[in-house]
Amino acid sequence: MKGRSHCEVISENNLLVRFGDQISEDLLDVIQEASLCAAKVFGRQLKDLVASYTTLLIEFDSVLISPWQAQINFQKAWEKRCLTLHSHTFKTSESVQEENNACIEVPVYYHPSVAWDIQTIAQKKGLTWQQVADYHSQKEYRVYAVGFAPGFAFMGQIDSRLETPRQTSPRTNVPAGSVAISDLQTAVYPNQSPGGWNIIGRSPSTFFNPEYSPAALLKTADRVRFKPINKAQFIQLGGCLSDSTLTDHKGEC
Amino acid sequence: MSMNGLLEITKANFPALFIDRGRVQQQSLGLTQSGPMDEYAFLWANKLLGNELNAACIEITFGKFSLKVLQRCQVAITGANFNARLNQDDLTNWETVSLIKGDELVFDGPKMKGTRAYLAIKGGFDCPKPFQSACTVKRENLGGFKQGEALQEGDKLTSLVEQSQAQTVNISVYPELIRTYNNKETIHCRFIPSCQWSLFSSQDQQRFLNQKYQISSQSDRMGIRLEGKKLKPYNDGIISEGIALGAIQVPPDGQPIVLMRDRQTIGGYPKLGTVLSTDIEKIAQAMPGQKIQFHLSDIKTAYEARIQREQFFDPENKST
Repeated sequence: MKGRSHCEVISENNLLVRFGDQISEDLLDVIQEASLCAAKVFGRQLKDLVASYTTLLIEFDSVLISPWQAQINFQKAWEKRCLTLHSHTFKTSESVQEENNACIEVPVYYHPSVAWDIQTIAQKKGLTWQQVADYHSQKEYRVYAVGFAPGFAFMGQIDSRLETPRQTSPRTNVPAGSVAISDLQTAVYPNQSPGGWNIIGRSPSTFFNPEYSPAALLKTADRVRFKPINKAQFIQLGGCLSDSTLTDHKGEC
Repeated sequence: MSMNGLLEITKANFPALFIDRGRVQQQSLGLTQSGPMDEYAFLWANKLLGNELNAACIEITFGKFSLKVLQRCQVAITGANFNARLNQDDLTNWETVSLIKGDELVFDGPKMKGTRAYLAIKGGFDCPKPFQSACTVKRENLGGFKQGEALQEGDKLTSLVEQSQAQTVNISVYPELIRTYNNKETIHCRFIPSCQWSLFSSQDQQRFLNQKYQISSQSDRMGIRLEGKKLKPYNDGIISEGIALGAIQVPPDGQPIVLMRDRQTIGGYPKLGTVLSTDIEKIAQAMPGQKIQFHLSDIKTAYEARIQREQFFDPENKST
């Protein structure tokens, strides 16, 4: 039965729930459902939730609930949740479905001038850089996890023809908006930061801004598509062509 | 609140950061929780002044930090002993200090007795609170006066409350509750075997428990790196998962890292377990080169230690 889980108390205020050991889109929906379930069960006892590929880390306030009670409460609620949903074909609740259906379109300027690694990848794979851009922008992706940096969304899976290991030595400065791939995953660097992924484009969009609500453009389980744009569109949308890393405010560089 | 400031920083050679108990409910955005490296000293700094326990303090790393007093105010100093002086007089650590205009407060530098001191002000420092927390995290450009930057010479500090103009009585922590940090001593640190513990060979489990590690100089608020006889992680990595405070992860080089307050939200290295949250501060105050040994513990011990701490600092449970 999908939704089967193993819930471990790993500290006096953290539960780590495992839902499987293989990355899959189905599991992504299960974990989203489990996040909602945890939020409901714990209410104000909840301190934080970290959903990742196959796990959910639940941090609670141990002053308000003991770790043993937290484990029991979650397990009971989750079992009940799984029973009320279809047990064989795990069907997510409507709220999760609705949230997941919307597809976020991310404009990307795929061009060697900003896509530092696109030609190297093309050469290695026997493709043109335009084909690399095509393969990357033809698929719809899901966000499997958010981490590494604020608003950094791990998306998968890319076309296997583009599969490329990360750089052996990370770059010290990757410009904000850099669209990158590593193995079968893709992501956008929200801010200028060090990074070891292969850069194949640049987006003019803002991916993280503390002043915005929500602060991050992408969240776990979102559907994402990359839309190729040309240089003029890139600039019009506030994109920055310079490799200067002196400012992380796009458009001001 | 004073527009002109109560204190002005005259020297800040090492990171001095606004810190509170941490940024909660934001890990889904990829933001670290942050919080005080030495929670015990941080909580005492606020408690001595009757502040809210979550009031913003300054975490002073390695000393070399000085302040000029612009207006009368009351502060508290706890944590590492950096030879704090008021004008020319030595100050006792772990007590409140009344300051008047013209005073000079100096934290000299490492006495090899801890790495982080806390400076609290009556009412808490008035500082930016992105995502409802004062915590300063440089790599996230969050907190402080300049998007994640540490405090700098010339910065003026104020409190959220009016400082009493009357002479205030100063108090100190009961001597038996004062922590001194001695870098010559081996740190004994308890942990809960969990996560991938059972996937390490029993030989490696024993090796981890039986050896004294050395604290690496490559340590920071994200993680404290250890140096010792190498362990063999059972494979190259695991599928990235959420990381609890105190997680002991083992990267491919076989040298464990204890993940601290500014840890990343998810990570793909196998973990031996979780350091007790009340033992984190011992590692936080350790000097590079200091010895550390880990001991098996359990959830019950961790829970009781946590509850005891919360009840001591917050007997009426006001902060939850």
